[in-house]
Amino acid sequence: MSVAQTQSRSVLAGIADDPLLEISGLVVETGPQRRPIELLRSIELAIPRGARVGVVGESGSGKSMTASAILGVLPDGVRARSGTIRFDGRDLMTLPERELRRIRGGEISLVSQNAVASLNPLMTVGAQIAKVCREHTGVSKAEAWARTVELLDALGIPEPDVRARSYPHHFSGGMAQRVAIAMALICSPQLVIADEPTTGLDATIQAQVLEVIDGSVKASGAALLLISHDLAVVRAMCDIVAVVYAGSLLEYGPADEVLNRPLSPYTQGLIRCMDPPEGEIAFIPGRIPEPGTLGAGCPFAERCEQATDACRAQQPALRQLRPDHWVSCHHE
Amino acid sequence: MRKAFAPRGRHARRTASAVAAVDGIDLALQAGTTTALVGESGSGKSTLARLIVRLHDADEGTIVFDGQEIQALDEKAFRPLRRRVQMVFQNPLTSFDPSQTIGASILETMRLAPDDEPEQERLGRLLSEVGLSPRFAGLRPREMSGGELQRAGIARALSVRPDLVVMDEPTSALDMSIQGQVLELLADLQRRHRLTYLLVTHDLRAVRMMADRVVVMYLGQVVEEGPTEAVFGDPRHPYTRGLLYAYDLSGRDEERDRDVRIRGSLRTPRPGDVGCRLVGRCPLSADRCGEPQALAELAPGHRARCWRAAEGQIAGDRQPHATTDPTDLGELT
Amino acid sequence: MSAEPVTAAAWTPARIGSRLRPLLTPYWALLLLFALVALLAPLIAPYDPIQADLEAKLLPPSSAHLFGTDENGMDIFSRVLYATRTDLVVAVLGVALAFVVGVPIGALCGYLGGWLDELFNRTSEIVQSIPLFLFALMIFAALGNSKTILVAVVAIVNIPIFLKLTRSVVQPIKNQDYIAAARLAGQPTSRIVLRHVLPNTLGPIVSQASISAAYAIQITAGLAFIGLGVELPHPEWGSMIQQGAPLIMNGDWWVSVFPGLAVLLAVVAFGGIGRQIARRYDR
Repeated sequence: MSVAQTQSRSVLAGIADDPLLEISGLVVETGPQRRPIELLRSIELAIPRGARVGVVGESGSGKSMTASAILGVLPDGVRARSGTIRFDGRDLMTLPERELRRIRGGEISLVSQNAVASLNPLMTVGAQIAKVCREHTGVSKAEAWARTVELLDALGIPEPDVRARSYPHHFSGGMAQRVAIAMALICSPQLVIADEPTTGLDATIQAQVLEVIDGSVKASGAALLLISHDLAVVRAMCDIVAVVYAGSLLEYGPADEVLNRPLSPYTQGLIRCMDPPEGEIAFIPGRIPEPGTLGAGCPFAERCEQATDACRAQQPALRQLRPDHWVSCHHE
Repeated sequence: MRKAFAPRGRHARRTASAVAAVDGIDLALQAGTTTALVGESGSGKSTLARLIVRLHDADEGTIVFDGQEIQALDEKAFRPLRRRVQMVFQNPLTSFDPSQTIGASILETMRLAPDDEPEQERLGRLLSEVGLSPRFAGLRPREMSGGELQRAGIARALSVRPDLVVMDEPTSALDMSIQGQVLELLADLQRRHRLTYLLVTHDLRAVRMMADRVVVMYLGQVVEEGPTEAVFGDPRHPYTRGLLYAYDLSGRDEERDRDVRIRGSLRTPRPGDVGCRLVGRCPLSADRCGEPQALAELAPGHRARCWRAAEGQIAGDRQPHATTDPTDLGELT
Repeated sequence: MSAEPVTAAAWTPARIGSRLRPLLTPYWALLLLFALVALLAPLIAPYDPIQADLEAKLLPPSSAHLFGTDENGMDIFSRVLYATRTDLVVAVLGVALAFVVGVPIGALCGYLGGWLDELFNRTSEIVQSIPLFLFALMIFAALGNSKTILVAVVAIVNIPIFLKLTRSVVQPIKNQDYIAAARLAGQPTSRIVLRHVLPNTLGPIVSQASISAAYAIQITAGLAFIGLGVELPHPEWGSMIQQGAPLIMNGDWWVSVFPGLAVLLAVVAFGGIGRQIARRYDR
């Protein structure tokens, strides 16, 4: 048992003592059993307690799939074939649905894009949030309601006791996101997953919502897993950055390290796109490969300027090239 | 060749409440340049774009295209002009008929401007010009990626050799790393064919990269306009300042937050409101803001609709302090 | 890649193959069987369907009479076969007529809106609010009892269905960007509706056609049951069921049951095809 446990630690575990969440060698696939298509290819991730980890990647890179795998809510036809997801010492992949239901909302919660769609349109927001609270903590109705109103207030919703009796469609984009954040925080989870929480919102509202997430996560001491295709959002919010491409982790480390001294050509490309040099229009040529079309080499090889035959032949392993800074790349 | 293009469109969408989606806009586009229409949802920029290509009709005002008034023309009379103004759409997935091949769709537009070159060859050349292999002509939209479809959309718009291309959020639906590909292509095509672009977008990075002039809109009105470097480098209107601040996610500090941040969310103006529409969200609101505000010329070609800007209160190093309570978040809906 | 000819053609052998493959289901086979029976009835039927033989009244199924005989000594098997012509033709013609009238009008209503939409909406609602059999009675009473009128009745009853369905699938499409692009290409409204709107809405409409055909058979059978539509002694499943209904009490079950089975199978076939098409377009 202990040998298996050691083997199931992620290579990234060194980032902190006893990380809250560790994903090691996770493979998620879909399609027929005989010829499956891999969506996540032996992906690694680590989230220290109380830290803010940003997962950045283009659409189709598998970042949302990772969140679904953590929560155990993979879509129909998609399955986690191997690997471990260790949360607070327990392997989530081995837990029964009953246990997972308790963890979802209670210890790990989710704020997704377009929050209004994830709220029940037939219940007032206060009722929904209080219900989640009661189900996970077992407190009385009155107590749950009180906590709900208090949290809505802390998140900057004016007249919280009145607004708690409103229905989701009464809230505009930014306010609806705050409600969704309240739902995610009401049980004081240890980990909050925010999946593209501000995509599609106006710039001025985006800034507001990010601040609310920032403040509330800091106040509650929870860890944050922020998923976004926008590197600027990740840079503003996170202390650790994980760069994902075509289902694999390409780079991982403290934000300062990864964004100022990137090791992977892909990360370098993303940074250039985010902050193009004066007068230049920056982009990464080509497009992300479809799942199932990848060969044996590095997934980024066909778009990489520095790709060599070695890159195309074999996928580089995730190595720690600098203290706390891992990269999957043949070049140094 | 100077091409004046000056719509003064007042387009009421809901006559019951008489709220104008586009209210008293004066806009002039110079041939060969890129003008960006910037604003958030509800600003009216998309409506204005569609008015210009005459997908909708304005309730009031005129649109003068190359010396010719086009608002009053009916569809039949306008048809010959259609080849001179084309549009590139935001969502690549819905901009092509899913039941047709890309080639068939492009041909449909291309036939507005027939010429001697055989159709299939012309089609192949167009696709190559936007970086797509000619074999894409036989594909259906669902067989292509967002970036590829957007290129096809550009090929379609350019197939008639238009003078003006209106682009409604051409890169918003694309990943950051792909956006640059499309923008690079657009810039290249503009140089080669002397195109005039009207770029409607909320992505300020794209504006910085592409636009010569910027027009900032809020709730149907122009609040600031001018050369891009001037508007972005020295914004005069509180909304422009707030927008730039919102985009600069890493440049937060308490003082700027208090004095620059735009609070709350959009509030639709009531029919009786005549003053600045940013009241309640603007950190510098005062009583005087309730009066109608005019677009004042602050520097050659640089105008803003705010009395504080007109009086030189917001310029360069001068940063006025907030007059409204920072905890006032405004209405929710 | 650059050596390939530039082509906008869409029909490759692979594409045609994938379109035809769904046709290999039992429902289509059943439909094909019915069509063949309708066509070849004169060749297959062992007896003249309206030849009475009072010597052979109410004989149970046997090798001479596969489905037995009815009160007039007519062979039920032959009658069931010939009735296929009537029921199937009425159903298919009636639905086709309803389709050809209801779909274009519905498309225009959905696309243009305005007074046209209002006019046809209200008219459809009036037609639909009249109970079916009452409506049929009125028409037959006014215009006489014939197969042509029967087809007309089936058609009129189905037109509002197609109209409303088409309208409702057209409305979400009219604001799509590719429609705007077609307008920017100077396409007239008629071409836009025909070339861009309808092809993208055909899925639900075609599956409705199959369901309507199933419904039409039931209408035909039902009307014949009360003596409207097809006149005796012409074979028609509904009237045959009606004739045999009182005989069941005497133990002469075959007179009703076999035509009843035919109706059942036809309805199943049409309904199944309709659902199959609906599933394909639900993606």
